[in-house]
Amino acid sequence: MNLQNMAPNAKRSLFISAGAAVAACAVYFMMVEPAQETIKKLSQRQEESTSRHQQMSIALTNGKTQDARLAECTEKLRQYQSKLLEPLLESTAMRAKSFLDKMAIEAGLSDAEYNALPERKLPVPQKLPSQLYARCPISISFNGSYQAAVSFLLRVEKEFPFVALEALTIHGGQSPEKQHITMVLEWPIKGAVTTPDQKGAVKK
Amino acid sequence: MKAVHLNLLKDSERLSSSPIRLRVMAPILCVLALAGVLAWWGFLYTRILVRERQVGALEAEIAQQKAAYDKVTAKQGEISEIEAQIEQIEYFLASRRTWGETLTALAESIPPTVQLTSLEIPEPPPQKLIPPQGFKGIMWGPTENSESVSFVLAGRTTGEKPVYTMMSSFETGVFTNTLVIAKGDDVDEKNRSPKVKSFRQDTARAGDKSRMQAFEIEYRAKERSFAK
Repeated sequence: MNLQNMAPNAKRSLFISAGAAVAACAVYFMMVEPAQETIKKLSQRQEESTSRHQQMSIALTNGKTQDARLAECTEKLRQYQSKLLEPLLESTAMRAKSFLDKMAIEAGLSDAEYNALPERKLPVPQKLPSQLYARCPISISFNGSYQAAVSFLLRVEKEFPFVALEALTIHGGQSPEKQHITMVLEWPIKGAVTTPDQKGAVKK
Repeated sequence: MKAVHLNLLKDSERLSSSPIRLRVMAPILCVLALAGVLAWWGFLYTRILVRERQVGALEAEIAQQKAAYDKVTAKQGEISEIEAQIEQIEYFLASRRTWGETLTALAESIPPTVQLTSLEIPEPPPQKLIPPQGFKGIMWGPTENSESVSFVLAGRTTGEKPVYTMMSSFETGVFTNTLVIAKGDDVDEKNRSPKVKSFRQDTARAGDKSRMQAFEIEYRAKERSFAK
């Protein structure tokens, strides 16, 4: 069919059809598709914002009880920390001596000698804290009777709930009143400090 | 007589006999399609406006709450830090075993014909601090969360019976809080407790000049578990 031979009506009809079809295609590709894309992105943004908003709302609701929780935890940690073995004149053995010497004498133990043994590490929790704690064994050797050593140990266990007996040796001497006793008592102490960049890479 | 038919119409001027004519229907359909696509776009555009308003309102609220949220988050971080420190100290507390009562009871449970020459709770083995294969980072703590503890008694006696009496008394009362008793055929050698490490004639002599027996017995004590 030749365009020149077409009747004017047919020509008009063809042009209108072609124009409308092209315009429809243009509207679809240039407006509808981008609009759909925009809606998709907006939906995603809305979803993210909603989830973040929910998360914030929950945190803010929980935040009302946070102050009490923080105060409670801080107090508990303060109490724990007050029971750690702090060095005296840069010596943990000296500090242990300052705590235990009087008790040993009162129990009837003599010639007490205090030595700090190498620290032992404590397992680390799932969330690595910035301040770690360790075990500090203090070896105490003295002379005295078995009863004196046991009464000393009973008193230590009662008065120092943060002290654990790690090792004990009692060798019988010439007399039951003069036996050589070595006790290794263990305290928790402050250990290594972790930095934020080390935290990510770490786990026991 | 033969009739003559004159056809003065061009092909394009010839009308179809069908009531639906393509030259009428095609533009109508195309214009309708255009209108449909425009309406679709209009609908989508309205949705965009509504959603933008919703997202905008949500984001404004988030921005408004951010300062309070940051404060709460910082406080939460502080709490987690303190809780982690408390948790590690509590590992130590969980591992604490008291021996005072056991040792007091021990003095009362030794028969008169048994003389202890030594008593020992040996030091724990060295900690395993070598990182496992493929581990990257710093080993802040040991790989094991527990430590085995043993209790070794050595002494002299006049015979086997007083030692068995002493060992029987260790299976009751306060001793069960610290010592592990694992006997019987179903217990393998490694886990057996107590283990008589030696029982032999001693050089020392009893009051009646008979040779005394020297013994060494090892008990497994309850392990120190560094876990809450």
